[in-house]
Amino acid sequence: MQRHPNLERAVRALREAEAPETLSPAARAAILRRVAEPGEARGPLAVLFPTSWRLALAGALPLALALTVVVLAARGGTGTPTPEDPIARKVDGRVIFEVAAGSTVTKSAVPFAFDDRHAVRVANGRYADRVGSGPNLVFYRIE
Amino acid sequence: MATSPPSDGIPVPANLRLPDAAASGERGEAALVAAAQEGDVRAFEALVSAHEQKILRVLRFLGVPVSDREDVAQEVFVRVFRHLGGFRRGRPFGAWVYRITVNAAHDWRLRFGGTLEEVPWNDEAARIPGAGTDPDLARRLVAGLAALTERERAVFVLRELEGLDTADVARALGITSITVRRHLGLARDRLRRLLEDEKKIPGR
Repeated sequence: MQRHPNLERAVRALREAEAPETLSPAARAAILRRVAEPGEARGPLAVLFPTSWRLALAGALPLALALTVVVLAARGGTGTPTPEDPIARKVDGRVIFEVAAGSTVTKSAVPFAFDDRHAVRVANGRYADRVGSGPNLVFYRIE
Repeated sequence: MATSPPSDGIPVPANLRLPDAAASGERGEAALVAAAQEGDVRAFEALVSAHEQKILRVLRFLGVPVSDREDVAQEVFVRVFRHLGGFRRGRPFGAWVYRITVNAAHDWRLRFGGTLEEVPWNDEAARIPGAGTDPDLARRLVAGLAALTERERAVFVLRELEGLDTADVARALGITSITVRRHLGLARDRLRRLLEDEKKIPGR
């Protein structure tokens, strides 16, 4: 690279200049206050998995859901469904549960947080729901 | 200006348990980063202390005026904390911080509509006391930075003033080494011409 004596002298002079700046105590306190806010708390997933892994795991969720349905279907493919042993199948983008007649099915995106107001009573023993294509896990409670 | 590597002399909080051999230098910084990733705010505070001068200095050279500099530095540190979970251990933490700093300066410019040429450089140049071996040249260089494009300026600041090697500058800016060399050449040529002709320097 071409040498520029004036420029090199200027760079050297600037690097030698003694003008360090530091944060004021107020600015430092503001930073620590902001990072200590609950919204800034570092979640365990963020610590355990880097971004690329989190994206990969999120992308794998639909596959995991489909696999769960297939496993349930394989388990319950024969016999008579009971509240303790429902049969699940995935057909044309829908998950179909065969449950004991009179069962109630409640759906939630959060495990153990089912809203009874949205419980569906299944009189004919069949409950169907659409399976989304996004990275969402859906939980069903069958009673 | 202190040009020692950013990982030197990092203060370690008294209550932070670190292996003795890792209490200073890069290993000390790695331990602080690991602790901060696990939510240790004291470790993060030590990282703030280790990097605050560097960040403020880079923001100054990137054209963030003194009136906004602490605010932008705050934003840098909050972003560092927020994205610590995605930082891959073993990578150079300093280059990662540089990248966040350059991005924050860019965002500041977009938000407040400032352009490099509009930044009031006269007061910035006047803030360099003594300015080493050649104060006039140093002041003219600071003023001349405003004539560079944003990319040229970032490359020049990181490569020439902060002393990063080309690969680290490329990593910090998310560009290739070839692009770094091209922008550095353009920046040096433009600054050389400006230093030769004082009247062309903006703000003088």
